[in-house]
Formats: sequence, structure tokens, C-alpha cells
Amino acid sequence: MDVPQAILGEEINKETESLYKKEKKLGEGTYAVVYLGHHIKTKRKVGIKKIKLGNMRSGLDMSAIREVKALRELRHPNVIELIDVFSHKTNLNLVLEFLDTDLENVIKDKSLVFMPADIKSWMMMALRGLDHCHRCWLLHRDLKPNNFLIASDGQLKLADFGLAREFGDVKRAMTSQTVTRWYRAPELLLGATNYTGSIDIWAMGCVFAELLLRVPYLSGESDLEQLTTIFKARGTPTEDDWPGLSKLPMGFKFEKHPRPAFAELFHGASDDALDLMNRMLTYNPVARITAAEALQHPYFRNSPRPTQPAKLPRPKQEYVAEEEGLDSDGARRKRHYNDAFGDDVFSDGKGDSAVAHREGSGHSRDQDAQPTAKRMDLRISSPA
Amino acid sequence: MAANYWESSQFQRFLLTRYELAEIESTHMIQLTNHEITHLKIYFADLILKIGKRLRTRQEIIATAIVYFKRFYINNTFYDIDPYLMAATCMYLACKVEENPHHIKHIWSESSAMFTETSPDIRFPYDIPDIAECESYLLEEMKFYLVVYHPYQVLIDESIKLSKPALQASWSIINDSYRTDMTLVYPPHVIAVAALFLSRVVDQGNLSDIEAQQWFADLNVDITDVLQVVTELLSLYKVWSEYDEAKMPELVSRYIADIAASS
Repeated sequence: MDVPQAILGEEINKETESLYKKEKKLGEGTYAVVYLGHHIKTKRKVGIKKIKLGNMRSGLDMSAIREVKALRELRHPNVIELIDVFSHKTNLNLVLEFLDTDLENVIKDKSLVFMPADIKSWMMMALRGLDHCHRCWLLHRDLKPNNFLIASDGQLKLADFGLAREFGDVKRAMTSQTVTRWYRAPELLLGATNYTGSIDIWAMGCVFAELLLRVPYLSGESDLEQLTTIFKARGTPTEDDWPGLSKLPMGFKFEKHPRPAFAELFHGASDDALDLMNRMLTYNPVARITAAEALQHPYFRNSPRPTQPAKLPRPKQEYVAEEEGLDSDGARRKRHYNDAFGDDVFSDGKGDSAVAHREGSGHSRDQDAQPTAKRMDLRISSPA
Repeated sequence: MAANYWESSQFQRFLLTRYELAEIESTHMIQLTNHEITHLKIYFADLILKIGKRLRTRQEIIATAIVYFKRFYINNTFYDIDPYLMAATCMYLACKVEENPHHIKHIWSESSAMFTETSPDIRFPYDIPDIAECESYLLEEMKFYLVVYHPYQVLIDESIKLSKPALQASWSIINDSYRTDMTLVYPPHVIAVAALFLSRVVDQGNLSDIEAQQWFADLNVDITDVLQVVTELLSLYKVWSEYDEAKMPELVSRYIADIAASS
């Protein structure tokens, strides 16, 4: 406990601010500007996310509140670290650990070859971070490859907690309009307002599939389309697969699609990997594997052993320290930071109105790649 | 939200000892008698509760707002920021943090209406941007640690063992505990156990005396702390019986004028 003296928070705040130096702007979204900076004494590199002033007439907006609230209590090697917070005039500044790239960049860099052990390593780190959140009764609600940031030592970290909220009280309804569409669990698409960590696991299953396929697995073009995409890819669920399905608020009849053979699409993936992925993409949210259970899955114990984080493939174009001109690299970097540090999420006032329009900004991914193609860049060598 | 209370910022950063709290009071509140200090605490907890009632929010949100209010005035006085403005601001922030946001305009109008209704002597010359500005002072003072644990959850977890009247009695006792500073000094489960203990005086509940003894014996809670909380609650009820809301606005103004004069 700090010794209580007659110091105003304002003065402590100024002290915090003086510890860091902003160097340059890395990117800008409608909701925040991100700067590269460093701690003046330790020279530690940091990302300073300045939340914009425009909304200050009504105080701090919900996504900033959620992010600060969540990150102030979480502490885990696989969750982005919130080092400090300070306000400057009426802006809020989050001092975050500096991370160079994200999983989306890694997946998209087709010059990189993923070994099964690499995928296992990323999945393990992601699940550990997620397990920590769920143990703290926190839902992330926006898992997707560009929200998994990667540190220079290869550690993967969950970031962007602008939609995160606590769960566990069955009496309290939550919005079903959350999570970027391609990663949104079927129960959310059907309008469930009571859900658990299983929605994050579904998203994690989609990311797993994306690591195997190198393209988004379930890329629907609208909310309704998304369900159809899921059913085509995974077979239409029956009351047996998912008891209580017909009781969902928007439950209605869907065209029957048979369950395809996954092994064909995920050619080259090992059986244990496919088994874990299928458990993460189980229709019944209650039967879906939890993060803690997933970490105990044989996939993580069987050979090959997960790659050490430092030895994981990384995109060639690392962060470079100049800012002149937005060359293609600069443009890419800029977009990356907008995505990584949250975009235009603003919900004012009414209830738990999280963000459906978010997918628009978050996804400038090449959609021309055919996600349904049988074998994409599945450069997986057979396990030794 | 941290994995548990012991890892939370509430325990690690905000828990004060009795002694620290007494130190703070002795520096801030020299001009007041002990009764007056308690009355002020009751008064502002009541005001925040009234805003909450008007907004029809859950009790936990009201409790969070009261804790924010108390945290702010650990290191600041009523002279630094008007407590009426701070009360409205705490409610505004607590609603957002607990995922039940209200529009700032709504908070402002309900608060000012409530103050007018409570007493014509309360001055609330503030506008919406003042609440937004005040919020940033509040956030800075709390160093942006926002999660607060409450005794209610413990009660909910134990509710199967309780009869309805016992549950209601314990719940109200917990509500009352926010009229003191015990929430800054004791962990929530200690306050919850003390409330359960006191509620047995009111109602026997589903447990027989022997079962209840066993239940209390099985708790891994320092019973001296529990008894201390019980004592404090009982003394609160005593002082509360002399409380007169109508006299409070005058006391607040006098107190603020005193600090102004001495600084």
C-alpha cells in the first residue's frame, strides 16, 4: 500500500507521464493513436496508446473502460502487459508492452513455412493466455489472428480487450453482437445472450484451422451467410448434436448439410490436431472443450514437441525505425497497429452494445483467396 | 476479475489498515467530531444510493460507486472536489465499469433532480462536461484500478444454506456496511460473514444452532476480524439513530468552509 499522503492523483499522474517518452506515431484509428515510446530510465520500448479526446464530453468510452479494467487485473506471459496508465489533459494514455508483429501477419506471409510443431507452439501460448482470462472470469470476445500479438522473443500475447467483460452471472444478459464475424460462435449467431468462455474457444478453433489452412476457415459475408458457411463446412447440427438448439431465440430451420470429412480439407494435419480442433468447434457450447481441458489434450503431449517461441517463423519485414514515407511496409505496419490496438469501437450509453460494425475495419484481408479450396498452402511435412 | 480476491488490486493496493485509516481521518477531519464524521459517511452513501435507485441499478453497482467515492477522498478533501459532483461521477463510472452504462446526460439529470429533492440547501451548479472532467480526476486518483469485490457475492454463494428472511437481513446489513469505511479495511468475505452472524440474531434460518456453530467453525476466516466488523456495525446503528439528513447540507458547507480557511 502506498503511504497515503495528501497528494492529488493528478500529481502522481504527472510523475507517471514523465517516466515515458513518446518517439513517433505508429498508427491511427478513429478511437486511438498509437505511438512508439520508451521508458526514459530503463530504455524499455513501449507502445503508448492514446485514446482520443473526441469522446471526452461523455468521459471515457466503454471500450477504453473495458480495456483498462481488464488489463489492470490480468497478469500473464501470454497476455499483453499494461505497464502504466496516465492521462494527459483529457486524453487517456495506456502504456503497453511493445510487440512487433501479430499472428495475422505471420499467417499471411506466404514465404513462411509452418511446421506442425510451430502451430502447436502458437496454439499452446494462445490457449494459456485464454485460460488465464477465463480463470479470471473474463471473456475476451474478440479473438482473431490480429489480436494475437507476437513479441520479439516469439511469445504470443492476447491483446485488444476493448470488448472484454466478466461473465458467470446467469441472470445477466450479454449482447450476442460480439466477436468479428468469421470467428463468431454459432450460438451468438443464433442470438444467445447468455454464454461462457465457449465463445472464445470457438474463435480459437477457427484460428487453429486458419493456422492449418493459411486462409480464414469460416469466412461468411453476412451474419446469416456465416451460419450457412459454418453448416456447409461442419455439417448442419441436429438436436442430438446440440440439445436445446430449437430453444434459441432466433432458432429456425436450416438447410441440411452433411458433415464433410475434415481430414481431406486439413490434409496433412495429424489426428490429434484434428481431434482438438473438432472439439473446439463443437456445436453444443456445453460440450465444447474448455481452455483448461484443451491444454490437457494429447495433442500437446504427443510428438512433435512445440517449437520454442524464439525459434518460431516470423515475417521478414520487421519493424524498422524510420517513418519516412508510407512505403508498402509502412502501410502494412500502420494497418497492423490500427488493428492491434483497437479500432473504432464506441458504444455510448445503451447497454452492452458491443460492436458488430467492427469486422469492417478489422479485416482488410485478401478475400479473393478461396477459403473453401481443398488444399491451400498446407506445407506440413509428415511428423518424424 | 482477477483470479481471486487475493490477487486483485483491491487487496494488493487498496486495503488499508485501521491505523492508516485513522491517520487519514485525523489529518482531513480535524474540525469534526466522530459523530459528525460518521454522519457524513452515512449521508453520502445515502445520496449515491438514491441516485442508484433512480437509475434502477443493481446494488453491487451502487456499492462500487460508494467504494470509488471513499477511495477518492482518502487522499483528497471535500474542498478539493465538491462531494456532490463526485457522488454523481462515481455513479456514472461505476455503471460503465459494471457493464450497465447510462448516458452521462441521464446521470446528470437524475443526480441534480435527486439533490433538489433531498434538500433545497444542496448546491449543484454543475453541467455534463463537469462530470466528464471529474471522472478523469477520479480515474487518476484510483490509478485506473477499477475492479471492486463485494460481500454480496459471498452471500449469493452461501444462499442455499439460508432462509429467505436471513438472506434478506444479511443483504441489508451488507448495504449498511457501506455507510462505514469498513469496506476499505476488511476483505469482502469477512464483512459477509459478519453480516451472516448478525442476521442470525434476527432470524434462525435453515440451520440449527449446532449446524450454524459448525458452519462458523469451518470457515477459514479470522473470527476476531469478524467480531470487529460486528462491533463496528453495531456502533454504526447507534450513531445512525441520531442521524438527521436535514442537517447534513449545512454540515457539509461548514466543513468545506473550515478546510478552506485552514489551507
